[in-house]
Amino acid sequence: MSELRWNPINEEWVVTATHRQDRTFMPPADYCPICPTRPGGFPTEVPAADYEYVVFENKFPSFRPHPDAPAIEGTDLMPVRSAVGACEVVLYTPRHEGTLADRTVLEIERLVRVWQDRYRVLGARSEIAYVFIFENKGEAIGVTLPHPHGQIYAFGYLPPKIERELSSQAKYHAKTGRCLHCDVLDEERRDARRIVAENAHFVALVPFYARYPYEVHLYAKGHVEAIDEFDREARLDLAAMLKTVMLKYDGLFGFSLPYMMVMHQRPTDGEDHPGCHFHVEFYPPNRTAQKLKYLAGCESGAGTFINDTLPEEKAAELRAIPADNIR
Amino acid sequence: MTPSSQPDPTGPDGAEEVERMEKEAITLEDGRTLIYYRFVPEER
Repeated sequence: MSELRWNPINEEWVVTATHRQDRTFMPPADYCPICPTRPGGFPTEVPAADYEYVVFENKFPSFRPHPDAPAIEGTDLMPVRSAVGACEVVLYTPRHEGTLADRTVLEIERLVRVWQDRYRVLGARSEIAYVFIFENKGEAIGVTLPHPHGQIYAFGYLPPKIERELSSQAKYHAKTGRCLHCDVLDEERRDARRIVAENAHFVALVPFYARYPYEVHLYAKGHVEAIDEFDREARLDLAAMLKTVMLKYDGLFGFSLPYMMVMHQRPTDGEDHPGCHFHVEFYPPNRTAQKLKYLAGCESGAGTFINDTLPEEKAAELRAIPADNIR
Repeated sequence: MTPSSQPDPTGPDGAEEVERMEKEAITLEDGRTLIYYRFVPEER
């Protein structure tokens, strides 16, 4: 059962998805449900004995193309809607161990092509307003399956954080005629103190307004609205920059750093959204090797993040970690 | 399981790719769709 319940106070939908309580939680490696099904072995969700990349509909989705009717009736003040959309799982590799950072640049470029395809296919569906590509990595984030994978939530509406970003970039565009993200990026590159890495098509930086100590935003240098616009050369650069950021993260504390990685880009609702600019945001929860940044009272209750560090110092720290000659 | 195969030889704006991306979609026993993505070198 899943449904959308409207919060008229925050003006946002909350997804109620009770079946997700029963999802598989950290199974032993021999019983990983997203490994290939080896001959004579445990039958997983992937019937093939091997694969390169796999995308499948999540067994425990928050959104479905044809959801059941809501379990409760809404009111005018607090309406309820069916949770229309799609939830997909993207398997990066048949190998159970490791992370995306272990894959070659070419292998990550292929993954970018898979993401491009899902953005086009899901975005073409009339009921899909936003294709949200993301990865949760590490137990600290609440990952339930360690096998390297990401997810895609295809929303039937514009999620609140995206809506807020669209609103601010539209206002800026109406006022100046320019892209807000391009101008932020220009200012960051002129200042240079928060730049972490750069290649021909992409820049990685700790933003001026970072909320997490090691938050990194990875921007397309050119004004590109969505992932489907990248050609092979840009895809290879995106793959290289993703890998660079991940290797730097893994070099911080001597262990594979947990993170949330999310992509922001043009909605697929058919409306005009001036100023969309493709970018990837990383939110690692660690503020030191042992200490995590929690979303506590001020963050959760007031919506204001307290960052205990200076973005300029954290960017310098990440910049100093070698991630050269990556392949 | 119901397989269906679909080559996708072009990139953005129809640009020629070095590798061809192939998709094979199957229907799992519970009705969900699973897609295998494979990459095959383009012959020149």
